Amino acid sequence: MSQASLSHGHGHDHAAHGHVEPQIAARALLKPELVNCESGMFRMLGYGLMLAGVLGLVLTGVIGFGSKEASRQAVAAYHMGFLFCVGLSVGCLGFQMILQQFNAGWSAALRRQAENVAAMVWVCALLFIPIAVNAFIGGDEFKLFSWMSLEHTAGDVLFQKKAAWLNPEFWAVRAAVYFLVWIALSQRLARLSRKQDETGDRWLTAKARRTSSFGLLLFALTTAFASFDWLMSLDYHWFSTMFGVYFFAGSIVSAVAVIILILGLAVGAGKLTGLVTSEHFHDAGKLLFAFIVFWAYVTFSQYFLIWYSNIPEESAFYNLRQIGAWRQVSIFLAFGHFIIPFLFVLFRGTKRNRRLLMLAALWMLAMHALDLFYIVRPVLKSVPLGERLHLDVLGLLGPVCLFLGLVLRKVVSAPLMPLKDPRLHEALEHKNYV
Amino acid sequence: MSNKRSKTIYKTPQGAVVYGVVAEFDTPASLSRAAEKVRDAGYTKWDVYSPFPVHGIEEAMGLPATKLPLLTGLVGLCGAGIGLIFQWWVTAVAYPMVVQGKPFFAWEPWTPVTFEFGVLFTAFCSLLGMLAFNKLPMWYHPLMKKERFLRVSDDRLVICIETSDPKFNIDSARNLLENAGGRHIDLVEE
Repeated sequence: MSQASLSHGHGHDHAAHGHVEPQIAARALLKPELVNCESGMFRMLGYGLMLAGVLGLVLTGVIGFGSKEASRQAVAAYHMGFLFCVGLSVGCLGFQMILQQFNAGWSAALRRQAENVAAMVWVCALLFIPIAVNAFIGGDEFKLFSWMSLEHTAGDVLFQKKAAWLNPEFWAVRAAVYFLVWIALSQRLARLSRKQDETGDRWLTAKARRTSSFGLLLFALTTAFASFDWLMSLDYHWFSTMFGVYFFAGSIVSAVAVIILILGLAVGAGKLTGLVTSEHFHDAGKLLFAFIVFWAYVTFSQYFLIWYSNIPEESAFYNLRQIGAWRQVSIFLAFGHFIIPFLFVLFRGTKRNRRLLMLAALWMLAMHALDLFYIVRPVLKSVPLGERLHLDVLGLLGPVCLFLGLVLRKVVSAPLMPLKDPRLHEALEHKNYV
Repeated sequence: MSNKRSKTIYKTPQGAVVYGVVAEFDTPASLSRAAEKVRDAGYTKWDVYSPFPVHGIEEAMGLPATKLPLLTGLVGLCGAGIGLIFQWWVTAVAYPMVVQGKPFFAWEPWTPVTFEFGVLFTAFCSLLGMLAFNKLPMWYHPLMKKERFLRVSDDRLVICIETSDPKFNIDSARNLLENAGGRHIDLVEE
């Protein structure tokens, strides 16, 4: 062994032979039966989720027709589910672009799943249609966004100052722009990656990286403004300059969690043996941990600044959520979304154990849903927390199950890894040294 | 590692006390393989010297996982607690003063300082704990007297089995290192 090949583990390639040998070794590991997922379990799970999703949507619609208040509550619950799907796909889009930008070698083992989830963002565009219908058709009393009802905003100076931005037409055009950007970016990245599976062209990686450079800028702007349009404007008097980051933080936690779950299920189904190991779960777990802390940091900072300045327009958001039963929800969110998972994922043993990490990921998905519930649901002041709770749950789970079912169909449609990614050998040999 | 020390004292023909047996290696791979052999032979008082970190050497040497994270975590929690109690004492007990109508006892403004105290104590504990666990600073080491050993800071890797090891025997240690591919096997004086 020469000095050059010794330093292989340090990330340098001094000599050509130190580069080619591992690639051949990696290719020998990539057996078709391990990377192609025609697993019946995945298909069954996918169809089951889609069926549950359709059932949830139908039930939400049926219960929503019960009364005026129930219909607005149904739209709100559906809106949470829609935003959960947006968070998953957009979070995965941002995540894979960050990995591409950093040229992160280790990540080649799990990037394909981020591509799959992000590529399903077109489903979110379809899921948006009912919300657009709610905005344009139907009486004012059914509208989810109170700024869209004229009787609500009449004579409201604070609204008139914002009317240039907050009007339904411009709002719909912006939504179209967000979806166009997300669909274009995610489809391009997924296409480049799948094309590389066939051709093995290394330059496709460079193209993906170049797309990610300006893509990240577009991503940051579109997600921030989408969160202003779809979440912050629910209470149009309120504003928070951190809100875009808050939405991004929650979304990327759920994105990393869903990637862990997909890979964990694949490994559990006997796929990717020796390819995705506890080393990769360890790294995904570290990122999950980091984004949990990031969420807590952003959420606390937003609260802290508003608490300190104590301006009525700003503090109304937290005032509403610190009264009655919502206070308990706030405290539960602080513990459930931060303190408990922080203490659980902190330990090396949790991150390296597939089952424990999947448990943490599932928990974080539930907490992300609760986070959206906490942002959206208190807006319906006339419907107290706990009333028709089944409607909240069904409305949220309907679109989410449908979306995840479609994601699983996408997962089985291609190899579970970018087979000819030039960084794949680095990813497969990756180890976490102490 | 066990704290048992050998009672036997080995001496060179000139009468100097022997510290241990050293052997040189050329590559991290051969060093790791030799370390595995020394580990499997059951030695406890020995060490590996290298100019750069060798990945995977912990397993090859059979070293137990470090306790430093546990210590750091506990000290960090203590630090956060001290930060919290300190702020409570200052703002609610020793010098209570109304600022912007905020309560004396409020967790919101205390969180950043509590966090910073935790980080400060964690950082100090990590550094000082690492030094203590590595027995640093170390002002003298018998190996430093050897001219050849200085190449360990350049291009040589060295294993040294110490005479204080309860299993130590000059001949068997020599043979072991020789069979493991060690070169320039030599005695080191205390």
